Amino acid sequence: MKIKRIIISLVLLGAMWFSGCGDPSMDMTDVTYEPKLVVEGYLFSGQPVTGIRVMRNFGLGTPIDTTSLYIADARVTVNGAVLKYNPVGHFFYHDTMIARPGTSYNIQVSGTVAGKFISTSASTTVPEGKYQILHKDLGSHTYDDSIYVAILPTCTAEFYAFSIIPLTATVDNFAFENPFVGKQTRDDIIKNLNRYKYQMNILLNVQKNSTELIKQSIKAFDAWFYSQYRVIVYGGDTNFKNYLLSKNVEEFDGNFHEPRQPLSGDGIGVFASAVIDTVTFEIRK
Amino acid sequence: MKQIYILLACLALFVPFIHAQKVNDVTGFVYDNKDGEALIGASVHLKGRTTGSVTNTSGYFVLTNIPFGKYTLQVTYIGYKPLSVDIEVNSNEFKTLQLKMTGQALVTKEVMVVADSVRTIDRLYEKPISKIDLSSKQVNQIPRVIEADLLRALQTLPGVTALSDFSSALYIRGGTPDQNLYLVDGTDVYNPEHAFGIFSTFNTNAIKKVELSKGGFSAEYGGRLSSVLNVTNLDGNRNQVEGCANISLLSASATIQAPLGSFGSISGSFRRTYIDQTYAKWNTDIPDYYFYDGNLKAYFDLGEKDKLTLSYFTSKDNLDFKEDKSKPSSFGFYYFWGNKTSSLNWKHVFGSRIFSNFWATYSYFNSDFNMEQVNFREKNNIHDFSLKGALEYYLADDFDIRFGFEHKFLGGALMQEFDNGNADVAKERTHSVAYISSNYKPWDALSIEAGLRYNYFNSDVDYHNFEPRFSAKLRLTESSNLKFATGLFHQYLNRIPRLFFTSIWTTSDEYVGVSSSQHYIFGYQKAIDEVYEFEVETYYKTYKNIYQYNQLAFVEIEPSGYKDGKPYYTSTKGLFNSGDGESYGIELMIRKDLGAINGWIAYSLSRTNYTFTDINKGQEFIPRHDRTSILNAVVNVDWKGFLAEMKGTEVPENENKWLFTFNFVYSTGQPITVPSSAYFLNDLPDWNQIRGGGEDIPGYSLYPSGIDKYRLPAYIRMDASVTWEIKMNGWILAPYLQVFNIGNRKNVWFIKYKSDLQNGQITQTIDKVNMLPMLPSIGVNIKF
Repeated sequence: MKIKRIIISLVLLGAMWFSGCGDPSMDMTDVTYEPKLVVEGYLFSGQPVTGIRVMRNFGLGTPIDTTSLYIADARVTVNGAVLKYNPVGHFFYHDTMIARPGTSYNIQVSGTVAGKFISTSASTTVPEGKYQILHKDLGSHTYDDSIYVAILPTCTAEFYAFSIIPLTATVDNFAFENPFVGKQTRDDIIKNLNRYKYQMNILLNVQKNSTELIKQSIKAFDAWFYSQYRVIVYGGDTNFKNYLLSKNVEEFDGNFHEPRQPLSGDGIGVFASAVIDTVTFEIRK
Repeated sequence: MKQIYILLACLALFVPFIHAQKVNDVTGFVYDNKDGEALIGASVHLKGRTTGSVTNTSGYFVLTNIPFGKYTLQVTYIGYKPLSVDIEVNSNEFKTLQLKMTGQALVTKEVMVVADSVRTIDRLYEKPISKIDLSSKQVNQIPRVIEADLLRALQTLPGVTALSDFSSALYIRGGTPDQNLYLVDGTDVYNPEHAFGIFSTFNTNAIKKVELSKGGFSAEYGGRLSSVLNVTNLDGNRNQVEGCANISLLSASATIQAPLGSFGSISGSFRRTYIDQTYAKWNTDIPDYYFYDGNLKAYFDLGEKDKLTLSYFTSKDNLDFKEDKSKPSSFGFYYFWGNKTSSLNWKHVFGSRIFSNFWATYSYFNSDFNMEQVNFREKNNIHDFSLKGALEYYLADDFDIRFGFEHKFLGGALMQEFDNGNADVAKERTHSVAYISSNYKPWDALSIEAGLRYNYFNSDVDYHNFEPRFSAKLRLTESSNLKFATGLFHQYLNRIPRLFFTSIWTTSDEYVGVSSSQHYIFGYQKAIDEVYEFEVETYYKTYKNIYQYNQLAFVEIEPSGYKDGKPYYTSTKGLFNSGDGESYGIELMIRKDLGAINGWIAYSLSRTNYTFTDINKGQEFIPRHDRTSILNAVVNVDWKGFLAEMKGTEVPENENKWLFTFNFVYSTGQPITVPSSAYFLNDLPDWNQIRGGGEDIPGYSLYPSGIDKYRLPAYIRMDASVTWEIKMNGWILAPYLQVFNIGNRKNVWFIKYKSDLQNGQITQTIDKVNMLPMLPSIGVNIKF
């Protein structure tokens, strides 16, 4: 009886050991693809309604041809006016419509994606007023200098995004002396050039219509190249903020959460408005 | 306090009335003869009488209304030789007995141990429903990730779920870690975590006893929705100096206990990692990081009626990170966090029938993060000063009343400084509690406990909540019990878990309401052959108004105001998503504590559902900690004892030992939210990332499917350890080898989606990120 128990125990132990081996496979083929219209639409205060792109989404695991992103035959209206399509720039535009400060605009988009006719809509209100940038040319600096954009937020925008882009961005003018480079090699830079080139800063919950000066620093991790830089400052509405801050829905542990995007129905993306202006500076050795 | 005295005075009125007859009470304390530690749960009865008593958490017992005469008092306790003492009850004098029991080995002479001890079914009957006890030895035997860890040991029990290999957090019966109350010597502990949660702060060598209540707990406990983990540290050896030390690949620790003359004892332990002094010196990629923890406890025996305990605990994690240690200007940050707790406990016997415990406790957690190069600094703290009293009034052998109070001064602060804004949240709250609970045995086979707990939480909004509790135990047959418990529980604290940052605690206020949970638990217990304990429990829990950190809090949070044009934040508005939920399941466990082969096998089948307004479009979803099935097996083998059992012989007590331990776990995979499609959008209007250059494609984005609709592959792991216990001259030297994940199974932690752009074609692939591989570790334990 005891021997029998020992044999059973050893078999169980072996079975547990065996089951605790291996490399489980992940099969994600049963994830259902849902066709969506992908909208990229921004209205800039005082500027024509243009540059609105309509694209499609793709099922996971399917090869994607980047030239077939756009839905050229989509129907796009803004406040009821039908927009035209520019096949060269792949965007929709209106000949005469201007984005007026304080005015609300509603976009309606419909089209066919993966054989399914779908539609989406969203609304945005263009911020009133215009913020002021104190110095539009910040001059030439080294990494040891303090650089900042000074703004008087004299408009209704409560959210600011700073797009910081070097006019020249190659591995040859990459600043390896930047204290944030760490142990990155030349090959690493070439591989991730895109990531170093496009930088942004954001300011949340700025007091609207305020005359208190705001200073936004340009830090070493905002500028990776020895180059002239162009900073476009967007004073955006809530849609702008929600899209930009919630676009990345992948958490550190690989899980996903839902974004806060303004498009209802079968839409992904952004329809937002902003007041814009530009600043320049240079980083030298 | 005034109310307590009035209550005590009222209760005292009963005592003379009862004592008017020629009867008296027999009371006393039961201690371990070897080290003087109080024995919790020892069975005490008078030979020839049916009624008996069980020692409380201080080792105290009362046998009421014993007629004058001569008796033999019998005390039994698992692992100890039975004790018989002749006593005479002949006056109304109040006297407490000081009884000392002598231990005996549990691993051999299984039949004798069983025959000498209290019956298994009686032990099971006395235990409250959903409560599991573990000894320090059991905790230390379970193979571990390098370091013995209390919380990881508890993860092997039914109804307790681990999230991953990298987390020691406990998810109990569908509850989240912030719904667990951690008590160390009566003190609440917040964030008991080292190394971002990989290890817990409990030093297993300093532990005397661990009690985990998985639900349905009595009115004595509250403030959390799911469970209570009650850790009692060693009081200290009252007879001789005793110590142990451990050296593992990660840390070194030592514990020492010593008598303080004839009136008390002291114990202390300390543990520190030494990566920063060893590996980090050779490998510059390893950051300078260490943690330590230590505790000190002094026990003073102030007489028959008064015992005083002082305890202190401290822990600290220290991380000094530099991306490139060779460059002084390299990016880096400094981060430290830690706990400090202290408690003063006074046990007093007010007459034979009123046993009391009074505590003054203080718990403090703080963290400090400083990333100077980006002008970001965060300081976070929570402090809790509590005054508590718990009294037990034994009206008769079949009827006792427990009542008490608690008053907490609770506070917390979060300070964040960053460019163009700051958060400065400092809140002070008070939480007052009063409870009463009575335990009545209408007949020998039935025991009923009914209680009521009242909470007053003073915040921006005042909360008054009553919590009725009820439980019943029935001896079904000579070898089986039936149990039931139900109760309402409230929680006024919420935790914001943060990856690579310590958690922040917030309290109920004008934006975040009180959470509540109702428990219903049925249990069945059976003793098999006096050696095996078999338990089945099924439960149903509801959650109302529970909170989960809002992943988009930074999008939705609104400033409380502006100072010099910069926003500041002082409220919790927008920090949480709120909703309701339910958990239900069944747990089976067969456990054997005696003999050369011991351990437990546990299986749980469960389900948790949440419904939150802003998650999954308001539809029901399964939270990420849900696991449908979990199978655990922990087997300890004393090889020589096993061979002796086979031969029917005995192993001499001083013989060296080979100890093998196996731990197996199977768990359904973790629910995850996966993307349903990919799309391309630039982050900002003037960007053109898709064709920007480089190999990665930042314009590529993923859109999620339904929340937690998919599951990772099943988690399976087996661990093994071997310990050679060498005994010489009263010392025990025990070198060990442990192998975590001995099958080297590549359990999936999470999946990452990758995309590659070549010739205008984007291909998408999935990468698995695995949990810990096979991880051997060695070390040595020394005892003297």
